[in-house]
Amino acid sequence: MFMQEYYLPILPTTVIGSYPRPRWLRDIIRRYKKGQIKEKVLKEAYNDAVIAVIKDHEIAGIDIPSDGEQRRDEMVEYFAERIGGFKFYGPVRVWGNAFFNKPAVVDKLEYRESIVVNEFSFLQKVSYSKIVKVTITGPYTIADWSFNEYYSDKEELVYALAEIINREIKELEKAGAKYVQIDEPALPTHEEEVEWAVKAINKALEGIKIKLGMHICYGKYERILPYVDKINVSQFALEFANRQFKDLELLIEYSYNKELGFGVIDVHNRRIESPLEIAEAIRKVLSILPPEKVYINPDCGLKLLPREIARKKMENMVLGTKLVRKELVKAGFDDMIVFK
Amino acid sequence: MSIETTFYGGFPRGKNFISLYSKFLKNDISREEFYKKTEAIVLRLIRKLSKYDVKIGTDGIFIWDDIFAPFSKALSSVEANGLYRFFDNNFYLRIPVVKGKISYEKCITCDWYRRIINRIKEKRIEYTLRAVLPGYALFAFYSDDKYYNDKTRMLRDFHKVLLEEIESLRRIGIEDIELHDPALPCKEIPSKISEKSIDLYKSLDKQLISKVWVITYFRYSYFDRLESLIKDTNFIIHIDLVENSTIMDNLLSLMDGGTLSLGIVDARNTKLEKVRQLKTIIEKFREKVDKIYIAPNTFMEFIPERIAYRKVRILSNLSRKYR
Repeated sequence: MFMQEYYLPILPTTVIGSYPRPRWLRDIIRRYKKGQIKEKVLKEAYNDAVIAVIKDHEIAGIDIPSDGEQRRDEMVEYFAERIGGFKFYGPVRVWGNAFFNKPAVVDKLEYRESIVVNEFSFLQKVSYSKIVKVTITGPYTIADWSFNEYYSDKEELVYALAEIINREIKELEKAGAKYVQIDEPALPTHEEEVEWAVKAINKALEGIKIKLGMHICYGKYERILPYVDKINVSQFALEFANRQFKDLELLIEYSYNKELGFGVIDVHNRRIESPLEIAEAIRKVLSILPPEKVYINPDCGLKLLPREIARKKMENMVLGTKLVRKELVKAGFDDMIVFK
Repeated sequence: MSIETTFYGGFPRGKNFISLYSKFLKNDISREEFYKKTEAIVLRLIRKLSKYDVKIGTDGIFIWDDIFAPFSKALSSVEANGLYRFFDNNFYLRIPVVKGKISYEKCITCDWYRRIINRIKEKRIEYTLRAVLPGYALFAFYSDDKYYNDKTRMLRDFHKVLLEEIESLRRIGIEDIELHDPALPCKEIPSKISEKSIDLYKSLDKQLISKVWVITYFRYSYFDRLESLIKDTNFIIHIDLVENSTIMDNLLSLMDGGTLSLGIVDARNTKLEKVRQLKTIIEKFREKVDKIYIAPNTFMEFIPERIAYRKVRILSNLSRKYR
């Protein structure tokens, strides 16, 4: 079968997923929750917000944009609301004044309808780039960030979720998605569970032919790095800036050899990194991995930052990347790579 | 044997507080207005808990961002920095970065606690307020030491500031202090740190007038680290029996009277416990201790507010069986 090839600039820039919602969207959501606005108006507002986010990404010069997860209040909650068998008892705190509606599994889980295919279709329609990133919360993280009142143990719950997520990725593939990122920030949490969690995650990725990446933030990467070759994704997008790039040493220690989404922006700090700082960080990773294997992204989703700061951080990330691209081209590297 | 219900550390924050705190963070309201309205929220919590016979506990630590802040602001040369996961939870804290010699500046929480104590007195509520502070091993575990190059040395200075803070709190009328130390029995803590922590706890026991509660939770890799605290100090030690049911016989063998706190309801899951199941645990301790505090296994911020109240009610129903 003929597969169309896509090209990207060397060191492609991308985002992890979430992006701050415009103030007016937050206001509309608030009014919708109070019953003051109809669902139709809310849906239109979500679409408009995605267009605004895409424009921000385009102005910043991001090569692979996302829709900023504008329709999602939270990465686990959004999926739990759309999968049968979950119940919500109320918000729980994550840090500071950030909360999420942690779901509880109270019944057998069931795939009811596609979860994010509509998101993808709209994003692709309004995107300036042929390649967009669709993010899906992985089965392990959904389980770990839920209360389990139904399944006999967590492993059984993760496998049930893996089946559902697998079906959803297949729906995305059918709809034309080229790049799906599985978000598994919980994976390094419980060292003793990683072995079976990896097998369950692979169940969710079975039979998928499009590009799959995995994003993991927080936690100890040394718990995950021994397993990267066993997880059926071509890229891991990891945080480094929040750790002052100390974990680069781990890439050497574990002979990391897959594509890397290199986190150069600290998303929990409002200080805007300069392009020079970012270029310096990229040079560090290039001493470990060949440039064809490196994508540039923030550490994590940008949604907790004020929009102005998020935009400026993205812009500087691209400017910093461009500085290094010039050096690479000078050194004889092709200025484009094949997206695979 | 007498039984009393209590809870430790943070209580889940309700929607009113979340929205109030958000306004404060955006500078839409002043600190005074924030404190005043938070006082009312805390009073409501305490009143509600009183109905479930909870006569001793915290203020829910609503004004705390995490176990270190605002206390760490009382220390010179310590700054809050990178966001780290709190053990294996989807719950995060800013770690203390130690940039110089730790010394005590002033009591940051005293003003707040004084207000709450006054309100409790004013409203004639029967409630003993406990203040919350980080324990030694927890501080060592999460702090980023850029000055001492030896965390046992750092802990010696931390001990001095802890003494000063506890004394400041005693002066404003807080006699009960809970020191959270889930790190002490965990495997990531090197024995050098755990040994130093235990020594310092023993020294704290000798130096203090206040009543100290050492709160441990999550899975224990080294229960033996807690054994000497149970045997050799006057502290009330809180044991998480939800995640450590296998230590039961060992714990029972250590007890010969005295007071113990048992975490018997799971504050990390919404599934509700049955009173009769919990009673079988308590029965085992009946002849072994003089007093038991029954509590959730850890602080309750991992569960939604309404589940937290239900769990407290379960504990209260259990304690009523022993009246």
